[in-house]
Amino acid sequence: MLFRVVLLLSLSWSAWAQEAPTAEAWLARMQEATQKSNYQGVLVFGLNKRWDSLTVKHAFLDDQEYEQLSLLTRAPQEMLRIGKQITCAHAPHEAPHAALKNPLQLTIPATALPYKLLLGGQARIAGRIAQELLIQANDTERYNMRLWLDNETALLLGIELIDAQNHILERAQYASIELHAALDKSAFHSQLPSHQQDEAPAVTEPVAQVSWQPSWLPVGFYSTFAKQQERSVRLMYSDGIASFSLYVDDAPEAVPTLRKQWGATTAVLLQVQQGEERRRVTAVGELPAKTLEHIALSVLPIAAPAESAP
Amino acid sequence: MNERTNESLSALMDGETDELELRRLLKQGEQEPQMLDTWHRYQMIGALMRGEAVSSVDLSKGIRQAIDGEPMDDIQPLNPQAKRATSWPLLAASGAVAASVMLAVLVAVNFQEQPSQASLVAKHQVVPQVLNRFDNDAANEESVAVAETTEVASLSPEEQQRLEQAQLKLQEYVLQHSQELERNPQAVPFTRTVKFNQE
Repeated sequence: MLFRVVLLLSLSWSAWAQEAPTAEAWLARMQEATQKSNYQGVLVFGLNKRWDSLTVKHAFLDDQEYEQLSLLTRAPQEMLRIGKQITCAHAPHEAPHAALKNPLQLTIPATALPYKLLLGGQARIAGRIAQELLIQANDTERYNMRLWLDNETALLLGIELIDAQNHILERAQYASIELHAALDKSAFHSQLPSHQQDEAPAVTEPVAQVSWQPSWLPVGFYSTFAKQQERSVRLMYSDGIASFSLYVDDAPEAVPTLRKQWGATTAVLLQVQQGEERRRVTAVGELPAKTLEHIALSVLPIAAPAESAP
Repeated sequence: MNERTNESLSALMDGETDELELRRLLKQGEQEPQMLDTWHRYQMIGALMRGEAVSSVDLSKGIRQAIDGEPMDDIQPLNPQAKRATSWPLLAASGAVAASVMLAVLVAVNFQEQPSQASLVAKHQVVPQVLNRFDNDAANEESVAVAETTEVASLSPEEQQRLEQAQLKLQEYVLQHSQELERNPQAVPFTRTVKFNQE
């Protein structure tokens, strides 16, 4: 009898253990839910000092994503996306330099990254039970992310960007959300004067040979773009989640050092000297200042090709 | 100048005004020089009441820039060699919240009565300590405003020009980076609220 109870218990335990979804499974369900379900709500996002809010409508109709965002703070601004086509709209005489983007539309590559995926506890967001998922960097060269996924549908309800000291740099979360919303095509239209733009693909230009480049990169970063125009070099790197741009320009005069930060975005401008050659190096990205400064200071001229040698 | 403006100015002197009201006052000041005179008079009265020296510095332009710009935090230098450069970024159009306006005014008043060398020494001692980028409290914002008011005088025209050029370049590149990420569907959509004061 005792044996049977133990057997029963161990069987049910293993069944439960098998059923409990892993962090990876949660992430995969999240991407699916974000793109292929219908929902509408109000989301709040921003830095510590400034909050903005927008309404979100999303539907998956005829194998296409329909998404409309409308900014509720600052000057009126809208974004309508049908498939890959984006229409931006804003109030007359206002020229926003940035297209609206839903901070909770997240694409995280499933390939091996310099991050760990961890399951956390549960919380309540927009009136729904949410499962915490931590994307934790393997080092302190980049930031961590905390995601909150709807317990039932795995839709991303909230996100926090946190540094190694556990300070929240930026966050976004739904204040209210209606899942399985009844939305048809007629729900997606803009009231404001608009202009169309196609969703540009990720930078696809080939990575070209350049004359200056960093001699140090944090683990996991790879080049996504490199271009040289006369003596100016522009480089982009990504680790699959965070990215940064590096600009190397001629510096006829001494360059002051500047460091600025807005939420998770940091910019560092400094001078690099190699023999007689002086360059102004600017690094911009979603990385801690110390990482960007380390990268910027490591920029070196690439040795001339071997053909110049005797 | 009407009763409402008078009340708004009094509220400002008491540090009890909000950003919208401050904007209204600044706009009104552009059209009504008489109102600016009253503002300055109130400032002087306030300073005298607190037993401080009196200044006639017009800070309204700096205040307008501060409330128009996004908050921009300066970061502490990471190594001792870079320390000399700390004074440079402080000059940038650093955002100071409306609530810190009163303090900025007071500090400018203090600055007037000190010999410039002394104020520079004081600045180098004080500013790096309080410029912790996670101190998002008013004290941090105020110290940025302090640096703005005290530092301009200490730079040579060439240095100032180089600093301005570097700041413009930095802004241009930050926007370029942000736009690139917005066009890239793969990029994680961190909050792109970086917006520079275009004035």
